[in-house]
Amino acid sequence: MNRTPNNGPAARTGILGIGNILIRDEGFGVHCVRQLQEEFLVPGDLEILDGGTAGIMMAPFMESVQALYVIDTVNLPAAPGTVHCFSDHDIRAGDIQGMMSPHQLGLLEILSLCRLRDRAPETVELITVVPADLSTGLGLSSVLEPRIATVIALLREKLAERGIVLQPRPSAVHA
Amino acid sequence: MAQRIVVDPITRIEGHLRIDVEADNGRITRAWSSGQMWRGIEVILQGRDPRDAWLFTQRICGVCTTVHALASVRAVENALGLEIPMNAHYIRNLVQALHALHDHIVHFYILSALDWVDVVSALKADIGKTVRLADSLAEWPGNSFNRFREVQAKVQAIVDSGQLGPFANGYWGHPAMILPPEANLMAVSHYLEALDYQRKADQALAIISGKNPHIQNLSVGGVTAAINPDNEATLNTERLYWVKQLAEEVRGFIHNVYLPDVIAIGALYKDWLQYGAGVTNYLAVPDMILDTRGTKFDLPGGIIMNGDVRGARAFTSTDDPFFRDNVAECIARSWYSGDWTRHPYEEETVPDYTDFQDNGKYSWIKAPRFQGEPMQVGPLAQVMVGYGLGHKLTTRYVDDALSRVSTLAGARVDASVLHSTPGRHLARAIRAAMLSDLAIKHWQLLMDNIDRGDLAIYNKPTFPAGEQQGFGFHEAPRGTLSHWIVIRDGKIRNYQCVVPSTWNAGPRDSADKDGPYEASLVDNPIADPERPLEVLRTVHSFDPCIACAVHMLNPGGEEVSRVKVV
Repeated sequence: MNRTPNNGPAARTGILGIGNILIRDEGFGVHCVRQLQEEFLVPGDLEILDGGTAGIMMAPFMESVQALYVIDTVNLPAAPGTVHCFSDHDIRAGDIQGMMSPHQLGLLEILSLCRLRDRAPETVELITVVPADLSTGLGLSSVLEPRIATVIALLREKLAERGIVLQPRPSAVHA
Repeated sequence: MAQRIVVDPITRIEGHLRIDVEADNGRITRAWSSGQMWRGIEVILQGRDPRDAWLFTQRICGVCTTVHALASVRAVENALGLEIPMNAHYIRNLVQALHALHDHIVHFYILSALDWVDVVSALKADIGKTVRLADSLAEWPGNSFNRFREVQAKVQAIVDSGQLGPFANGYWGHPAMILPPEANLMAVSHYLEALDYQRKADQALAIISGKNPHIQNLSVGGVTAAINPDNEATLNTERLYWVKQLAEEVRGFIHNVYLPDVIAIGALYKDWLQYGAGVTNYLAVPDMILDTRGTKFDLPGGIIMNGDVRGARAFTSTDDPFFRDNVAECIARSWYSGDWTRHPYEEETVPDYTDFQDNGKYSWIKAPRFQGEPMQVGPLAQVMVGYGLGHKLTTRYVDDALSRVSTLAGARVDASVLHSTPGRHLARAIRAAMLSDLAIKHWQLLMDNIDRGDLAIYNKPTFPAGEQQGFGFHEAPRGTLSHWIVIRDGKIRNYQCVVPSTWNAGPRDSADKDGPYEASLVDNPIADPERPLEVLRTVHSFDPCIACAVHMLNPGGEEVSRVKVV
């Protein structure tokens, strides 16, 4: 059985990929966490979740981590493929409210529910990318496909600052 | 003078639903329900392996992942005439029950209770009186003086901070909010506890299905969770007992908190029992399957036409032609090319967007019909059909709930009050209570079967050359879900999902008959057009989640205002 956020001890750091993989670039966050899991060994103090567009079902995961990184698409007036990070402070200040995709608003609501229960992560960071293609279909656009590597590199840096080092899986080492 | 009120978006969760109403003298006279996003799953599935369809369909919606997975594997099994082992049925039944329990708790407390409960009013509650009120409804450890005092302090802190968080969008102080402060405080406390119990249901689901939010243990032909009582890597005795413990805790919450809360709200808002009936044709499919051939069920299904509850007619198997042959979808008022009404096997999905036309096309949602008639689906439909058919479990819960509503309301009410906005909430709570009993029952059936040495979980599907058609249904938390598949030479040729929110939120048809949302809004009161709480109450009572009906982002991405009076 897969390890889930619902059993075992609370993990310290969480990575949550969200989006709808049936709407091409909308699924960017999910594609990122899938690739991350394929290419790297995940240490015990790191939890990774493909959240899809799951809404409230993500709450237990969010309440089980102290630091949370969320990967998603964002509707910003910037060129497709632009990567932008939001901090927890941006979210609290409400600066970005209304600018995100429908399930993103769900995410912020869920975070506020976690806060109400005094169980929100201490830090939340959103790593987002501006989509190029939101048509029905599978797979990312050629603009966003290379951004997976960008975001994974960014994420590894951020994790390293927290003392978490991601080692490539032996089988995933490319020549 | 008639006023037009636009509520857009109306869902608190995924999807994008727009409701337009015309009001005259404080009453709604006409309504339009419009899905504002296009659906396209069918296009993705064409040409794919039917065994993979469920992996894609469970991505249609983030809230209803599990239900699309179940309906999809059942559709393929039906096309192949493939029976599955009893263990696979029991495991699927457990998955279904646990998912629904999670979903119903979330829907009532998180997504719709705040239409009836005034959080800010809870600050005025007398703690002692709140304890007495709660004790009069049910015994529950959370109904204590200290707990209510803590919750009141928490609400005070939120109000003082000016950051209302999840409570930010409520219509506080609205004239239609009539609960006493003590009932509001009790409900807010239960709202916070509900978060723990929806999580327990979710946790049990994750144990049995491998992973949440996207379950992994299904397969065309059965399930993939190997059963071995003594093997740590499989669904073993320890894990199964853990599931049972969680299911029992959730059952306790439903019987002692959720159901009593809904009964109390129904009684305190008894004036609302006259509003929101709308379409009284009901459709539910049987589920919680009890035999490999799919002819025995723990929850009945069938139809009721024109509110004739005693005239309910049952569906008798998962292959019942009475269901199969009577479903069609109409696009006369939907943004698709043409104006046909077709059986799902024969449908096509060719978008044809016009503007919002009051008397023309105005929705991306198609209008499903049964024998040409609009049908209301959801827990109310299931409970009504069960009651009409004399199903014992349903009858016991309905009669008990109605007698408790009567006592609290000080007036005798009968089953006719269920045709209403609060009736939909009451039916959902009754269904949750039944499912919480059935979850334990099916857990035991699974254990007994394993004890007898039956560990089978899968029958291998084979795809013959040529064409096969199949349908799979599932009584999901929001109602009747059906997937329809046409397979040719082992590949998907056509695939249609006729989903609960399509039945309920669909537009008018070629005969100009209102869909259930639309019909239910007509004659609702509306005290303040700028704050149309009454519209939200009735639409939210259906548990709207139209991500599955339509799930695309609006390509225009225009700014939308929540409420517009024009």
